Amino acid sequence: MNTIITLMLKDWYVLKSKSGLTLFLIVFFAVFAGLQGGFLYTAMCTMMMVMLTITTFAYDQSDGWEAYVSALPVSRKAVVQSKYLFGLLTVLVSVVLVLVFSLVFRGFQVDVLLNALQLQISIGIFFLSLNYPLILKFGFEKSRVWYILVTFLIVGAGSALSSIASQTGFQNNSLVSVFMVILVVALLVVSYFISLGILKRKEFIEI
Amino acid sequence: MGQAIICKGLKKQLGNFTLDYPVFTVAEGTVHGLIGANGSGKTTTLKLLLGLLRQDAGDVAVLGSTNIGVDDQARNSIGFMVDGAGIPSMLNPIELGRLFQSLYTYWDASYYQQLLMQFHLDSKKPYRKCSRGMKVKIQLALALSHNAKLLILDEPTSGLDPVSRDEIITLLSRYSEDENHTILISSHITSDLEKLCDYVTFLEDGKIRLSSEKDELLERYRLIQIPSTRIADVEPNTIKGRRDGQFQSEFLMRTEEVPPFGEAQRVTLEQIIIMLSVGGDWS
Repeated sequence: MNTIITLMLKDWYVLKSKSGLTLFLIVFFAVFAGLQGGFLYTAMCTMMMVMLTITTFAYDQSDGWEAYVSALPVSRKAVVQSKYLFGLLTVLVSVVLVLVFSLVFRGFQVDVLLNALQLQISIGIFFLSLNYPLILKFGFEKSRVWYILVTFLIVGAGSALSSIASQTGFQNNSLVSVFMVILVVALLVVSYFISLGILKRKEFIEI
Repeated sequence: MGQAIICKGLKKQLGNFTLDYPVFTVAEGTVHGLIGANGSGKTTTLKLLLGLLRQDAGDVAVLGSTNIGVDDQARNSIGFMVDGAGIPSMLNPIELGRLFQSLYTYWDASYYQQLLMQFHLDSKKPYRKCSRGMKVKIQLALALSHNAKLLILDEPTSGLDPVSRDEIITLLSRYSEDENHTILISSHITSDLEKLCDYVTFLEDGKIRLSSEKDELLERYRLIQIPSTRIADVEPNTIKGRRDGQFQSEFLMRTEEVPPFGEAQRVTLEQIIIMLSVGGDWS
């Protein structure tokens, strides 16, 4: 566990010197999410937070750290675990930020808070679960093309399902919310094991 | 004396390049230099030894571990510096020290501090803002501060000024004085290897052309200057390498085969490599 915390500390060191504007925007979106609620600001707050962790992959690959850390007395499993934990931690921070500003500006409204929570967890975990294995497999640059393709397929499948649900008259929103959270958590677990497999097999030919 | 590194029947294919070593060993307590042109297989060898690449065939044992890629314990005893495998560029030496202290079991924080001071490194300057020489020194300080038994270094002195090179060679010499310490170092700068190494291995196109004790190798060959008029008197089979000038030729020959009419000179590692590499006879 100490190793995982150390690797997360490394990611924090990497981010703290270069993420002033992004951190400002995250707080900005959290404030507006707290003031107005709604999908856009809440989702943007979480997405920008997860983007920060994706930035650490870019630095790792351009610095050669992915190779370097693989030659340190650190297991590749710990490297993957640290990335996922750091990602989840950033989702959690975005949830706390929106929660705090919502409480400050609009008081305690259970349905508003639960909606924001469900939205942030779903979007945050979906975003990181999709990106991490793609970046590990294809590198930061190439992964963006794959990300667009995979997102298109998943969103397409989601739209199709929602269309089928509306045609069949299915309108239980709370059930859909629970289903969404279960789906993204399952996606997270699958994503973690795929990333682990990729990094364990990885050879550093062109480092 | 045991072996810190043993490779047997090692093969690795990377595109059109094939690394193929029947046997390659590095004895414990020695400094072993890897010499070869770009693309000869030096970095590939070092990556295989660090577990950054997996061999297609053969056995690799590093400090007794036959699977270094998953053996964290063995990697605890290795310090390294490999081209392209870099430390996080945003971090400064203080932050790097904090990280490595948690990652290595036997981290010596005071020695790390001492090295930073000795190298006149700014502890708060991010790695990315450091010069090439400073970056090498930070990497060496990290590699040397956890009581490593084996150092694997890829071109540590490349691109450095003579003073920095000498500083690093001196530091490595001091490290190698301990008989439990082993260094495998690759370099283009043969004069550095000549100062530092006990053994040298020449690589060419992924093959080991020559592996020998350095002093024995330097005694094995002589450089002979022969006037053009006497070239016909030299037995062709004794010429291991040659460089022809307008009025005289330089031949690389085994010491015992030097003809009486030639002017024999001691050779440097660089002269041996150059003359053997350009159509020379490696036997």
